[in-house]
Amino acid sequence: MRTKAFITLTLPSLIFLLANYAFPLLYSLFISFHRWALYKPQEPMKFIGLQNYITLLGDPAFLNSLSITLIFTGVTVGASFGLGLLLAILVAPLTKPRKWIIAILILPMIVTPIVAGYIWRMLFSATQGIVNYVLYSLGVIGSMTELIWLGTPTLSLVSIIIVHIWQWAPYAFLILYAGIISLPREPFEAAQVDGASSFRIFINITLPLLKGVILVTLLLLTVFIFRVFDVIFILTGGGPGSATEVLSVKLFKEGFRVFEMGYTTAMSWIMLIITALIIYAYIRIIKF
Amino acid sequence: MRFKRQQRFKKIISYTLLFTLIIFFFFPIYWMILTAFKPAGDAFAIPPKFVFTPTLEAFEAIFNPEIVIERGKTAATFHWIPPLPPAIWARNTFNSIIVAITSTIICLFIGMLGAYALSRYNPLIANKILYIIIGLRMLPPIAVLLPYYIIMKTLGLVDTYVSIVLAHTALNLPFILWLLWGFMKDLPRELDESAMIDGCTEYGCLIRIILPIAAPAMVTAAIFAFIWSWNEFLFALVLTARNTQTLPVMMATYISEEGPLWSYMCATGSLITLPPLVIAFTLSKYFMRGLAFGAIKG
Repeated sequence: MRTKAFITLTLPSLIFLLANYAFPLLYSLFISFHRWALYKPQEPMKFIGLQNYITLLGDPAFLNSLSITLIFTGVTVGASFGLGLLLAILVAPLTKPRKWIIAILILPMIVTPIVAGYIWRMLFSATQGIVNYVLYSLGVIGSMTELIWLGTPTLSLVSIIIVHIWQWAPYAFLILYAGIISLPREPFEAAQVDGASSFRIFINITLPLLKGVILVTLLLLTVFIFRVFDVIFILTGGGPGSATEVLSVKLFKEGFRVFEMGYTTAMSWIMLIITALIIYAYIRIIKF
Repeated sequence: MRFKRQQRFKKIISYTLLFTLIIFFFFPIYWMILTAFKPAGDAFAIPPKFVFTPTLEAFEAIFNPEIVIERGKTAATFHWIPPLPPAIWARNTFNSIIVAITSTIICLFIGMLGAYALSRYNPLIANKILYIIIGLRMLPPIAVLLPYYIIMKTLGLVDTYVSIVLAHTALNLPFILWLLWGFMKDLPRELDESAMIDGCTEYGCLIRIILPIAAPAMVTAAIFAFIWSWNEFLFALVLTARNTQTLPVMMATYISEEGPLWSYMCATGSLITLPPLVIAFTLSKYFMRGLAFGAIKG
């Protein structure tokens, strides 16, 4: 392809991406070096260098949010991955109903996230929720209102983790399932002839062959779960207190409720840097 | 004999496990649909009712404020404030459709040109651009939101279709470029070369040769762009207001704190989530292909 044609054809995409990503991001970097609060219109924007970042790293509310995000992301990624792998192993040997099972499993990925948030709010309701009802009738809890899922700090974190596992385990399942069914058959046949147990086959053959796929799955899950917003916003809004205030929710609140622009943009740059590290690792792994 | 019994035991365990997991993933959606068809009183009954006389009461009510207000007077707690007049439903549904379709079309058009060029040019340069595209697909949208909002505000574009369509196009474009590139790079170069010998330019070749073959990939890309735009909440929440509000934002603003009128909520939710489900399942062949691609390659 001639260079001229290449430029003409890629130009619309590049201009579009530059205008919608590069420009806002650079602008946000610029704001992050300033003191600028929209609720004080009489005070103009003032350059303060790295002050916002320094304040941020000493701000207990931010550090709290960061640690909640890390716990939330870590647990959700781990559990989604584990459940996805389990599903992939269970579904792969099936022959007939496979299509239907896959269709059911991808439902949580398609449902509008806002709607999913409301569904779970209904399920988690302390007084009339079916989750508590099931636990109560199984005898796990003594009374219907013993567990206030969305109203106590630890349980609300557990709740949002459960909902995101529900949303993301199917994604992990799909990647791992695609990986498992495309594995070569010979090593498995050989191991079976040698009389290896299915557990040993899994540990010594399946896992090593899947290594690349597993790494990709973990990284993608990390990037996508690190940035979630919708469901948490609907389910708990970051509360009670700041128990479920992950970085994205905190950013939203600071930016659109408090209007502390310099501070918020500095926070978003820290979030970007963390993401960039994950993406860098990802690109090193796929190396196309 | 023992070996066989052990095998069967294993099978039973794995089937039970699979069945339980499927229930976990399926139940919330099933429960939403079920609740949408319950009479208002049954929706929050404890123990939960699995058997009831299905009714369209809730669907009627969410389009008819008078019914809601009338029932609200009798119900002890009333949380559906304000009710949704049919005009708001109509307007917001229209907004969602317009935004999703326009951004899908722009995305496909720009993406198709870019992806073709990237798949045919010197990979040393093309790959560098692709790395940037992957990066953009993965960065947290919320990090772009605030400056984006300020820019749109300055330009006076908040609460117009322009800002939200541009935002959705920008959010989807990296994945669409990536998806179409992945498809086009696997098409044999001989196709292009023979067309060019016959006197086609790159543009003619793209339109006459590549596009017809890439049609299935374009359908896949369209499905994803449409569903994501339809479901998108964050940018719509900030960039739209009275005039351009989309359905997810409508749902989030009209339903207040935890309320017992769950049948109404579920009816609203079922309607909003219906288009993505219908599209994904009627075009499941294309949808699954996109998932598989997106899944493996990100």
